[in-house]
Amino acid sequence: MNRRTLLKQLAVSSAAAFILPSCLLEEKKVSQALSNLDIKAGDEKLISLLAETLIPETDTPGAKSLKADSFALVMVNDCLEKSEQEKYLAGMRGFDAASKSLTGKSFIDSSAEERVDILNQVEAAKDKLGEDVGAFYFRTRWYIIQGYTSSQHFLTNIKKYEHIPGPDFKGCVPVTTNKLNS
Amino acid sequence: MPYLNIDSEKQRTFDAIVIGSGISGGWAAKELTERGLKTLVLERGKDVKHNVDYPTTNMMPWEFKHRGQIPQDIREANPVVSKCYAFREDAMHFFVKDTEHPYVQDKPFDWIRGYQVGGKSLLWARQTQRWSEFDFEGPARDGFAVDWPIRYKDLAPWYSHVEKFAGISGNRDGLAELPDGEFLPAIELTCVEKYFQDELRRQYKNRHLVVARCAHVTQPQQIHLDQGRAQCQHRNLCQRGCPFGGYFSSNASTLPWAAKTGNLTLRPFSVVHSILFDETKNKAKGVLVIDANTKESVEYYAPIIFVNAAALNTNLLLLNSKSARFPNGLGNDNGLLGKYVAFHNYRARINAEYEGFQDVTTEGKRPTSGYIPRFRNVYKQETDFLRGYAAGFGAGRYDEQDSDGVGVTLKDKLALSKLGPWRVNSHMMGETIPKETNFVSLDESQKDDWGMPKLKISVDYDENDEKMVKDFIEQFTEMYTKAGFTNIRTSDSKQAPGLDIHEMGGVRMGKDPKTSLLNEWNQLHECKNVFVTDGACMTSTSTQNPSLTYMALTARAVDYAVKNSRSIV
Repeated sequence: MNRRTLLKQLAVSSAAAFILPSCLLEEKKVSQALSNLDIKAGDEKLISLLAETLIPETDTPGAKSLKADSFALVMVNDCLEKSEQEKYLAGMRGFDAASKSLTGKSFIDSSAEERVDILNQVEAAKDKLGEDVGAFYFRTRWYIIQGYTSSQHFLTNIKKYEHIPGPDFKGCVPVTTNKLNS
Repeated sequence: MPYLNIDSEKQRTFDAIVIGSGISGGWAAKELTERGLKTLVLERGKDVKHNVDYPTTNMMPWEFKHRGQIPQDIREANPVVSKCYAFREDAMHFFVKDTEHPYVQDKPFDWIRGYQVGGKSLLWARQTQRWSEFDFEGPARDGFAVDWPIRYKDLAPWYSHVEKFAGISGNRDGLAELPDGEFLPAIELTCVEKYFQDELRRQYKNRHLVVARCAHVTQPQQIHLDQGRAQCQHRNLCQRGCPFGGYFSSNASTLPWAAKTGNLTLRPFSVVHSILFDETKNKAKGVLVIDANTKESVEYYAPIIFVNAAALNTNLLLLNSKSARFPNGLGNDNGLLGKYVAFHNYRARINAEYEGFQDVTTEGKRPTSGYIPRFRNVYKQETDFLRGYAAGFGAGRYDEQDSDGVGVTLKDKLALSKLGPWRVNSHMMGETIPKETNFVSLDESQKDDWGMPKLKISVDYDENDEKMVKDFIEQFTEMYTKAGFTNIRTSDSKQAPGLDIHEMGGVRMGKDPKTSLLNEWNQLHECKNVFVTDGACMTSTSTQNPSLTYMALTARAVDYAVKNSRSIV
């Protein structure tokens, strides 16, 4: 690297350093503190839209109102290795562009109905998503399902979690229809 | 010299001292206090009171921030304990973190520890199979280690003694290689486990599947109610501590029992630095304790000392108990202290599916599974490796969630329950051969925060273990195939020794002071008022989960110590 390039880069980066704070002021504050992730309000919105699209609110609560979106970010923040987090963030930032190039539509700017179509197309084309976007999407999907299916609502009203099952274990009983084995 | 004060010395003098409050220390405490001995139990970690100090026991799945998973920063800082299956968000407070108590791995060894009142008895897998005559006679018959100084008949009444109190569920199966005991009603096998049981009986002469005996109160007797324990409710959350006292732990059972006698003094946060030797009387006189919090040292005295610090820490303590008489560690005239450490080989697993019994399933949860006792080399040597393996075996059907689709499609699918096929799984529990080259020693160059040298562990697998892994995979593949199981998948985890959490030996029992450290009553040959009755005393390992045997050996040794206290002290 010659001296001229270095100086140019320094100028750009110090300009960036100068400009950044005002950019930050324009960004809405995120709703939860995530110590390992640089998450903007826009990123949070994307995760919430994914949660609501994947498992929507119907006559029963959906993933978003059960806070599966916050759960997903907490898991990414607390339980992933640094390299996986970086890949996740890169994938997150590239997701809407991938949506546009794949379906012609921005996921963020589409209607709720269109978003379902977009995700169906994204899932059908998983080999074309690129490594980072693929990792981001399917990891988010996994955590949202985990957050939803381990929520109090789900484990109380949908599939009953028995904290104290009681001593009767039967090793061999007929399978009945609608048998809940969870 | 501190503590010249006579009154203070009197206050620090007991009839017996027990070092460690885990599964064997709890038993020593119970037996000693019941017989009227004022007993001091020293525990290096924090107090854990039954039902008071089980912070996660009533938490629901959604109340765990990471739904059970251990955060990455904790995993990265603690790579060893993070490998343990039970080190999860709900029980991680009962495990020693690598960073808190480092040790030296001369060879890879995953040392899993629980420093608190109750020790690992809060966390154990609660499997309680008796040893058989074939196990005790093993070293003599097959020419390894040294001959055990006891036989099954010596321990049988003590197995009964501890089983009745602890509460062990199981069937009387009538197998010579897995003696029956004092059992509470057994927990059921599943249809496919029973089917495999029949198939093994039909296809082989000497292979049996039984329901594993386990320390769960399936039908409380008066003795369990007297302990304040109730029937096991099959929560399968044992590692959090059980509010029902449904499984046996020092916390729920032996320690409160000992406390009720009025003879127990329990001192948590007490790191025992060394056992003090009285050169004139030629016996141990007490212990030097470092307070874990203040780091102050204080001595306690007693004419009888039980060492139950957990196998490797017992080795560490004895090696560190140096005196003019014993410059290489207490009782270590022959230089064998710390040597002949062994463990259980848990490397191989085999999973499969079964297409039959589609119209039936299971109902409820259970805290145990099937067990296949050792069938290799039982009556005579028949393979190119010594000894053999037992195996855990389970078969069940589980709800398999379909999570395809997006939107309402996905939401509806998640609400459905779809019963999967019968899944069968098994893992080996192999006997390893104690060898002089598998040993622990002190690293004097590195001291921990309490002034104790770090323990250096040099333990490895050998060719016998490799052959056994191969044989387990071959034999179980054949057994599965004959039973019609499909999609058979085998694996060798290559996990380091230690992760089995069945480390044993280093202070082995034997007949001859030249080749062993302890006699037939678990007394140090060379220092008769010190008894070692935890995993360190084991001459060989057999294939059974060892805790029940430690309990029985402890109760037997206390009985001897009390009856012969005049000659000991």
